[in-house]
Amino acid sequence: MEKLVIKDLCAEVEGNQILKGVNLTINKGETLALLGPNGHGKSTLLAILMGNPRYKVTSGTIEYDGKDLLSLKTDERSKAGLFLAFQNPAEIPGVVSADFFKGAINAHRDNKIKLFEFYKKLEDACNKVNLPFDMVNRNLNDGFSGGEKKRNEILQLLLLNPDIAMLDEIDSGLDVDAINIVSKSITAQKESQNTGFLIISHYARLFELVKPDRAAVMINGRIVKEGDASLISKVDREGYEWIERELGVSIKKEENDKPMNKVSIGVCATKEVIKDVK
Amino acid sequence: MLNKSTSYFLEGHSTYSVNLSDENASSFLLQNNSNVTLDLELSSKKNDIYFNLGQNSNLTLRIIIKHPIESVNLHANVSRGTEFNIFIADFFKNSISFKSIVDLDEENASSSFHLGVLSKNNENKNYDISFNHKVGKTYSELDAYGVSKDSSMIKINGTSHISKDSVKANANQKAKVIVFDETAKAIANPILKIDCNDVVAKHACAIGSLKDEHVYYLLSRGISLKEARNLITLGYLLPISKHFSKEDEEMIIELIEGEF
Repeated sequence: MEKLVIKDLCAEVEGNQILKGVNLTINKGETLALLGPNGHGKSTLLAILMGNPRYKVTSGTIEYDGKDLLSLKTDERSKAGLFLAFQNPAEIPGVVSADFFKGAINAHRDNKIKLFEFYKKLEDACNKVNLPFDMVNRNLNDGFSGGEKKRNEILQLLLLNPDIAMLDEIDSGLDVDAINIVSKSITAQKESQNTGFLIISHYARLFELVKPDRAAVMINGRIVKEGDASLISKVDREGYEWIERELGVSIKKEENDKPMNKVSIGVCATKEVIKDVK
Repeated sequence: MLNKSTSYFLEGHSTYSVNLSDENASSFLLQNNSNVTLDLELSSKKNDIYFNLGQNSNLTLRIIIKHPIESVNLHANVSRGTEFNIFIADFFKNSISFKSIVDLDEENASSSFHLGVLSKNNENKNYDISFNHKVGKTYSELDAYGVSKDSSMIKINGTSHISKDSVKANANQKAKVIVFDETAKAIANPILKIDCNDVVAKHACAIGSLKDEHVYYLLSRGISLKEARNLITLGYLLPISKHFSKEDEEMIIELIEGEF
């Protein structure tokens, strides 16, 4: 069944067009690997699906379960069954993780969760992602290591049990053991709950473990290639240049690759730049 | 000099509860080698309180503002090897002017002032907190968290004065205030007066509305905007409650949660 259908989606942030006509479908119970060079709109797509107010959809549609996703607020999208594991989860001092988890679980239920049930559920999830249970008494992501933050994202996924989970570079900053733990949780969630996954990663290691059903490549704000899991291996072996050749697509370089402005203010390099101008 | 005052003697290893209900000045004398917790209830409009802390002692002062008081003037002298920790929970619906001056008179004297304050409606809450490092090897800390709602105002002045020859003095100030509504206001002034080299002096102030990034993160987990704002705000105010007795902690939590 088609759960999430994206059609001709165009979006911008602060006046910069990032997505330029994205077409993509994600089905419940399948895992889709989203590949592409840095800065080509993958994370933007996930942020837009989750309703990040920084991004503005300029045209196109997103249907979720046959309904217009764009008409839903961020919290409503979560309650409808969408989940985003952030690349850089926010650190929120003062907000105790356990209070936050309970609030999130209750938001997805009609009746508030009972205390015993909550702690049991939390303990199980902590064990699955190998996080110490006393972590739940710490402030949300505050002072967590990179690996703890990523496992905390997966822990929330397990607690909220979404229909479609989007994972934005969940493996970055994780050591081999942690990647194994995370991938096991993803696989178990897919098998037991039929959760669909949209996964962004730059490393084949995670994909080898979670075994995606399909893959899509995003370049210049568009999905330019879709295929089965063999596409991941090809990108891993050959990079993206073959797509340029095969499809005649010119891959736009990242903003960071742009040459420096001739005159910069307030940096140590100013003197040198001015010399060049002279 | 205090013209008319009531004196209290604090000693041993005990917890005292004192209700100051008249406008006479009160003075508390802490004996040497004592370890005392003092729960102070202030119920008169004006409160002048003086502390004289003996050597090698520890005094924890806890005040929950729960009466419509107008002003508090607190002055303390801290002796060698003594620690004076002050905890103030102010979630009461009334304007207040609270002035605290702690003189660290001898080496290894230390003091901290921890504040959780909520203002709402048209309230005006002024906290003026000073530490005077009279000699070296003294330590002070201001740790203030506030939330300003409606058309109210919170002002926190933190002054740390490190006198000449106060080598190895250590002064720290931290003040964070959330301005919850567009018409609410907050001011935090960190003032460091340093007349000596070889000291440590730090300050960090943050005033602002809730961070969009934080709110978005909570929303992405299904939590409503109202709940998200409340959860983050409570996170600013609740930590002060941990320093009070179990019974008072519950009362503070009720007071805060009743406001959101």
